[in-house]
Amino acid sequence: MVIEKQGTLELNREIIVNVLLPVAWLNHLNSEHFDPDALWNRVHGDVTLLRELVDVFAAEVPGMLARIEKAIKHGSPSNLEKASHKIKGSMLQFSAHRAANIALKLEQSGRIGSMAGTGNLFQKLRQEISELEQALRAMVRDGAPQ
Amino acid sequence: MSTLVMDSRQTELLRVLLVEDNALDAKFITGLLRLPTATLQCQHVTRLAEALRHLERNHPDVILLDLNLEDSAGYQTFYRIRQAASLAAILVLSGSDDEELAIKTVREGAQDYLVKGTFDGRLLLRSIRYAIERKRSEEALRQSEATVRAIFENSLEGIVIFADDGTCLEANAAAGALVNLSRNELIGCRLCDFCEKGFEQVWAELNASESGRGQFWAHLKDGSRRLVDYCFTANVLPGQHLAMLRDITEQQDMEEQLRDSQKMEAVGRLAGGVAHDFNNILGIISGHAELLESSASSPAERGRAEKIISATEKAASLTRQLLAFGRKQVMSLKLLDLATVLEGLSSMVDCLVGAEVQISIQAAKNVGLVRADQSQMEQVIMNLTANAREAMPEGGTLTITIDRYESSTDQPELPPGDYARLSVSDTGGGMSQEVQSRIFEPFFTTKKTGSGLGLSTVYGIVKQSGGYITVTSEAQRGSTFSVYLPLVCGRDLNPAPSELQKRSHVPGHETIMVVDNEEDLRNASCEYLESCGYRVLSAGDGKEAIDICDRHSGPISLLISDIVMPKLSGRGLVDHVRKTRPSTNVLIISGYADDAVWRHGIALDPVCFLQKPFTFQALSAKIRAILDKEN
Repeated sequence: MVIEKQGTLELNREIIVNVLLPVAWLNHLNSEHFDPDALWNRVHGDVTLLRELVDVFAAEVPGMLARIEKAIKHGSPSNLEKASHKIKGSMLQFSAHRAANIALKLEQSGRIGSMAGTGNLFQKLRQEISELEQALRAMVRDGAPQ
Repeated sequence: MSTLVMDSRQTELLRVLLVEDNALDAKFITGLLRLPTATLQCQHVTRLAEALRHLERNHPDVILLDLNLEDSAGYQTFYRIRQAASLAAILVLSGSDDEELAIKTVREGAQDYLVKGTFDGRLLLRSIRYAIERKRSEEALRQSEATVRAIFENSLEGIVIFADDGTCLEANAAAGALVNLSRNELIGCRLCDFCEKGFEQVWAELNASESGRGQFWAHLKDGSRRLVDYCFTANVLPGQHLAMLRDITEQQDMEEQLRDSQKMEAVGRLAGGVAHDFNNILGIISGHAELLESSASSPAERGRAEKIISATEKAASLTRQLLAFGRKQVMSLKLLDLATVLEGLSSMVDCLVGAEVQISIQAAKNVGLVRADQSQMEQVIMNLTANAREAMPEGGTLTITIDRYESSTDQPELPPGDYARLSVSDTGGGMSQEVQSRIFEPFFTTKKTGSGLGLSTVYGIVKQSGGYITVTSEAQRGSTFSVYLPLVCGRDLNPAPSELQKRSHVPGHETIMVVDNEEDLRNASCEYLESCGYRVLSAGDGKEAIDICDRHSGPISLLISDIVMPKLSGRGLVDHVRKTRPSTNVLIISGYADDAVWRHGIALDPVCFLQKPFTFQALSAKIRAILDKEN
């Protein structure tokens, strides 16, 4: 009886994480990898500001990723939720929607206490962020996106 | 903590506190706000505890708040910040598009909720400015509401908001007190429940008009009623009407009492005026009766003359009471024996009390003399007697006692010393403690027709005389008012009546001028004085008197003059005589009491005044007192 209830709870969590919440975020998190135009507009074409932001990005993001990795490694959903929430906000600021979407999934996993699949999601996130950093450095180097 | 000051063309420097533990997001937000149009002084903290410490010393205009910090998360973060910075606008910046949380924080006081990544610098700056303006408006509204609420709750006037049908929607405590209800009991009641029949029509007319004023009688559950003055304003909010209510029952009672006292004052003036004229007439009757008596050829004639004199004395006593009632007398201190004063009033006391009340007078002899005004003492006795009589509508015993009292205890209401005590007791229903505590207040009365001035006048006279008054009362046993006047030693300012009597037949030889426009009285006085051996000069007014005075070559020892006379008043005459004949003594005679004499501007030793009507014996004694004193 108890096992049955737990199974139902797990199913509900899966539905929430994989179906309902992603739909709720569709307005902000589309499947696009990165929207440089949106970021450019957001900083009002200020390359100096963008350079400063990329520098802080480079300095801060590795630590943020490390906290997520550590939470997954230690099986700490609450720390996973907090750390993922933080990096999600930063990715949103940079209009990096796909990275933000992955961070959201990690955050939701942490919130419902499910660590299943978080390792893969983290690897995807690290990859997305690596590509994002390269794109950001290109923007700083080349100026406004074509 | 880091500080960033941004330039702007805006004149107002906005103080911003950024609470964000993500260095990248903090950099992003401060970077976005690096706009030419922004004049911001931005402080950045990363933890809730740090933010709370900052808010203890600083007062930012706006707080940009990330809810999820190292030491706090979600709504709790907002709650703590809002508690610590009630005057600051709060703009929540979140990575969560959590609508429920957004609604909750905005409902609880956040000015806005922005999701990270959805705003640029311009939008953020605009949101900050709008948030500050909204917060300031809210604060102004809150303060305004607090002020109005304080006025509403503390107003001494009743304030009620009524619905269209007269149901009380909101009320303050004063409104409840007006109808002996608590505020909560009043809410839900209908105005017409307290009003007389027919008020529904008034209410309908008020509703139809924009505003109105008026009065109505509110009928209370305990059967009493209050006169209420109202000021009505319709539709202060749609379907809600404001009424300001004031209980004017006591005010109206006071006005009625004032009108009554003014009426009494007018009656008093009339009585005083009548008494003056009456005194002159009595003087004529009394004077001629005395002449008849002195020239009577048989005991029967003398007896008749004595009857006339006796009757005029009684009539004169009545006019003295009329003058006292009219308060025409100012304080004229004399050494008095209270028992003698009471004895002179006994017939008045009998008249005042009536047949259904038994009177007991116990006046000890040789109590001693007090320094007081006789007419005022008479008024004290009459007022206390009237008061005691009123306390016994079904009859009873009224006791007036005069005795000597020695106070040895150092009590404030009666310091140590020897006193003449006048006590007036009744066997009525007695008074409550509350009534006793207010009994001497002007206009306080327990009677339906009382002016409320009787006992306050007594109190004033006793205090003016340096005395004390106490009251004791017991339910169903009655009340006693006791007046204590300090006993004094010393010579009387006026010779005692017996002395006057004794000296009245002393013959004279000096020259006396008698001036009075009452011819009959003047002639009788002259005839009497001549019979005593005086040389008499007679004049009908002040001008004639001056002519005679100036022509007369010999000395004039005494000028006896009335005050109110045609052509030239007594004042003008006295001034002239004092200038031209400084050695001439002056004796003023008047149908008015002595305060009227003062009002005519003559500074006079009390010994030099004789009130009409007077007996020739009293006149003769007064003359000798003046002339012999000089010698």
